Amino acid sequence: MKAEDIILGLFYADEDNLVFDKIKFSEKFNDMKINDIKMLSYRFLGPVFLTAATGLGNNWKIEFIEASLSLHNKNIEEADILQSFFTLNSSIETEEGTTNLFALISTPYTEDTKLIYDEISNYIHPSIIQSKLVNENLLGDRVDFNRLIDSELERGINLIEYSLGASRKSYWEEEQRYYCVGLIERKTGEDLRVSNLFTCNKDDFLRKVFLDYIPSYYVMAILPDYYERLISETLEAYDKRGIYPNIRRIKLNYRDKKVVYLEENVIENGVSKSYGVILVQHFEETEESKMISYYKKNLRLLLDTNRDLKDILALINPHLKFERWGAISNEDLDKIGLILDKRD
Amino acid sequence: MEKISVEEIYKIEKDKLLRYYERIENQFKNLEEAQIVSKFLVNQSIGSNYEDVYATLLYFKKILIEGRELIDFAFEWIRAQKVRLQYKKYLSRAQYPNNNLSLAVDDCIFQFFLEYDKYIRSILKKDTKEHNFSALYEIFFSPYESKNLNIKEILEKHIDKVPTHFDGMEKINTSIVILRSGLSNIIVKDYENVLFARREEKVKKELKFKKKTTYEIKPDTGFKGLLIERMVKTFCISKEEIADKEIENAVAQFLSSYFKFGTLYDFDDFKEILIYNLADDIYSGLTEKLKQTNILENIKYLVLNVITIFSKTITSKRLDGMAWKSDLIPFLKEFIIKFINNL
Repeated sequence: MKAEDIILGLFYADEDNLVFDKIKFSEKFNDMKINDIKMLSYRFLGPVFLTAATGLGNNWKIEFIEASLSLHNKNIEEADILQSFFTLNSSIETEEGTTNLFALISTPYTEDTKLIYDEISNYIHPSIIQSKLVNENLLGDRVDFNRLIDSELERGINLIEYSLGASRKSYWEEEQRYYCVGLIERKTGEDLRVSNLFTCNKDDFLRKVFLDYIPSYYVMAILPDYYERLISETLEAYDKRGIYPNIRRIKLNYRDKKVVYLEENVIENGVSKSYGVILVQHFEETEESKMISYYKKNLRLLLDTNRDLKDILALINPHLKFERWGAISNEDLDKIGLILDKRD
Repeated sequence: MEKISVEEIYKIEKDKLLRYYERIENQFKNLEEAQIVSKFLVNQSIGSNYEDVYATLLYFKKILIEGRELIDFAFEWIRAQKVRLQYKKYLSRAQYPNNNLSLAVDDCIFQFFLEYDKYIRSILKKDTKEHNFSALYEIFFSPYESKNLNIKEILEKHIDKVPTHFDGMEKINTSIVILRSGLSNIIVKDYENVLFARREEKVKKELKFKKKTTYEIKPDTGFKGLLIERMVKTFCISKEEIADKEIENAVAQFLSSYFKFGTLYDFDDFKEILIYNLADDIYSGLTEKLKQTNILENIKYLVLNVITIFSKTITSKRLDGMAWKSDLIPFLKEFIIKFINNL
């Protein structure tokens, strides 16, 4: 694949949050464009440190973000070049702190994201840490860490690029059951930006129980919108015009806890309308625990058949209330933080 | 669904092998265990020779975890050949961009040896020093037909390269560095052999095609330094010293590809071709990174200097192919030694 056909970046943040990057881009790009692309590492890594930086709650990690790409202008020839857009993040905690290796990938194929995640988390990221340690031990002060990390990132990006194009497989994780703790409704158009969160009643004891299984309602409410806009800006930075991203899946984890945000969308009259469910895994299995495909089907029903949101909410989890919590303005978000995220 | 274990992926016929081992055991009742296991392995075409296998078994016997016998270790040695077979099959189909050797190493380690490393560590004691693992990988995965595998020499080679790191009493995981240390040279050489075989195949096909389409086969128009390219590539990856003899052989092959015994050649006729082809072969052997600092034009300039010095020493400008070859070898050999040392 040629550099101009893909978006491929590997960003490494060390224990002190120093960021190193290795990004593939077209040789035709000018300095300004290259600078914009270079800034992507900070912008994508920012939210990875989000929960750690706020000092609130546990240090959740954003592991995977996937967006589908929609064609808005059929006259643009190169628009169909990209099919996949996703990011993967591997975090490793040591006594010295946490390091993150983040990959930004967009290609003309539906990629096997699990394979690439395994490469990042089991090989490329550990190899950076191990090479650093061994070289430090062998060479002491003479180690040039910048060069060492740069060389490891070069090896890493080559390995990822080589494995691109392997078709996506279905993995056993898809078969697991999840419990829905909330639903997000979003509408995005030229002059329109709406985002609402639905969850259980603020006085319901389950609100606090749910809170133990997610970073916070606040973080969950802002993530889809934040990343969708960031991906849109990324596509622009790479001159990929005429295609627009729609968030499909976000995965977060904290130790043995996992959250999956699953979203489906439809575009009507230039407005992108989407619904997404916030799913948790390590919740005591109940009748309401369902497989991913169940939620996907219901989200599609909402979008394609105009089924009532109230009915679907009751179907996926009877504890969820039909009460909108705005998630765009700072005022509304503060309200979510103050009321829904309150622990005592 | 759980991950499929290494034992299941690379199955060996343990029952059958055990029956064969018992037969040897009954035949040589007076021998000690390590001797019997050595015989068993050598009979299975494992290892370079009996002495090396025996020494390896004696060494690793001390670090096997409790409950594991030498025969278990022998089974793993046999299983390693299954892994090697699958890995070589994969490698023979691999097409790494620009024949990137580091990528070949990383891809093969990730695809075949990362899980295997976890598995093999489960049969050796927890406090086993790391150089034992890289030495073990060299022994398990080297092609036996090409070299002797003396455990002492191999351990000495690895001991300073891969120190064991501790955090308090706990050993720090450096498995990827260990895998690279034990397997990089093997993977690079295996992939180079694949490339060599592909080139040979291509040449054969071209020749076949030419034979079919033309009545007259044109003589070669250039020097072909396959060995020089391969040698530079190996050095760039492994950084291991190359013997002078090996360099001399590569230069001889390069010159023989053009000069024929009994044919007269004019210096001015081949000078430019030699400079161009030698520079090109050296350049092709460099890694992408080194290509940035050693551009083709610079290498051509360096070769030109050598050929200019050489031209001052010659008395006749028209000589037989063999004569040109023997006159040029010392100059080109010295040049390549200097070039490699400066990389």
